[in-house]
Amino acid sequence: MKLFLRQCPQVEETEVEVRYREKTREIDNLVQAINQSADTIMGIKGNGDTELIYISDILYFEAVDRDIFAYKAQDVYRIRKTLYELEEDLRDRFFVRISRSTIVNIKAVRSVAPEDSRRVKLLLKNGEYVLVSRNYVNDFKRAIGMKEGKHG
Amino acid sequence: MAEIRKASLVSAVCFTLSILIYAVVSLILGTVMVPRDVLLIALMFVVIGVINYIRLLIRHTRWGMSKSLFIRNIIAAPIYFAVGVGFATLILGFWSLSTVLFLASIFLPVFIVIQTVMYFIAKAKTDKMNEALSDFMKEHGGDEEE
Repeated sequence: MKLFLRQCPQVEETEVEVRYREKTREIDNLVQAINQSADTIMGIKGNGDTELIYISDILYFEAVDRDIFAYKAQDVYRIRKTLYELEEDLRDRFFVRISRSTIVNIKAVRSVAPEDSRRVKLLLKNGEYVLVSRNYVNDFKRAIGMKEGKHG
Repeated sequence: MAEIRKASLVSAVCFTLSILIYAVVSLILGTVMVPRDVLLIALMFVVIGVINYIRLLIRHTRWGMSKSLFIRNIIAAPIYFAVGVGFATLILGFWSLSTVLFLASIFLPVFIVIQTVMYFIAKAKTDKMNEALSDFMKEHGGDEEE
């Protein structure tokens, strides 16, 4: 395998292009290594193209049927991981599970408002709302640092 | 599907309670339960179930999510009142306009007051969460991009 490194001051973001004759295990490992080296995750766009997404750009992950989707402010990507794996991987990166099907980026939350059935809704920075299920409200409170006695 | 299940469950519980109340009142007054009335009560809760289902669908829209629970309930209150009055008229006989207005003047303010109190209790809790969220953002450097 040949490795070329080229400094291009004009590019806005680091680009990695892997040129291969055939997709082998070596390629998969390489992609995985690149994936792990940065704060990124591999996402599949609607047209099938794969793209590395910065974790911090993701507002929330949602499970729809058997697929997991990552939602950025504008784009949606399919992710090849389970919600459980994501929950484990992103625990230290300010993501928290807010329902059976959703993990939210706390840093993308703008405000919290009451909803019915002891649920709350979160306004995200793109103007979208996500619901925190009753069973996950305490997890969300803990994630934002609410302690008994401090914030009630 | 979950919405249909939830709307049906609420209607079923309310129907059962109303039949129980009807039975107790009939027992106290020594009257008999009229099958037609039971059917009308059942039909009323079917209508209410459909309204609840539509409300649940609307709640998940962008518009529904942007409105507070208080506003959504206030919008729905006159619809429930109209359905209730409509079926009560069918069961108990024709109500004059003054009776309907009298009931509306009691029901709507009481409903609004209850909703307001419930909203402020819930809001007090989320205010604390907003406070904690603000502290969290200061501490961990929240994403400032809009």
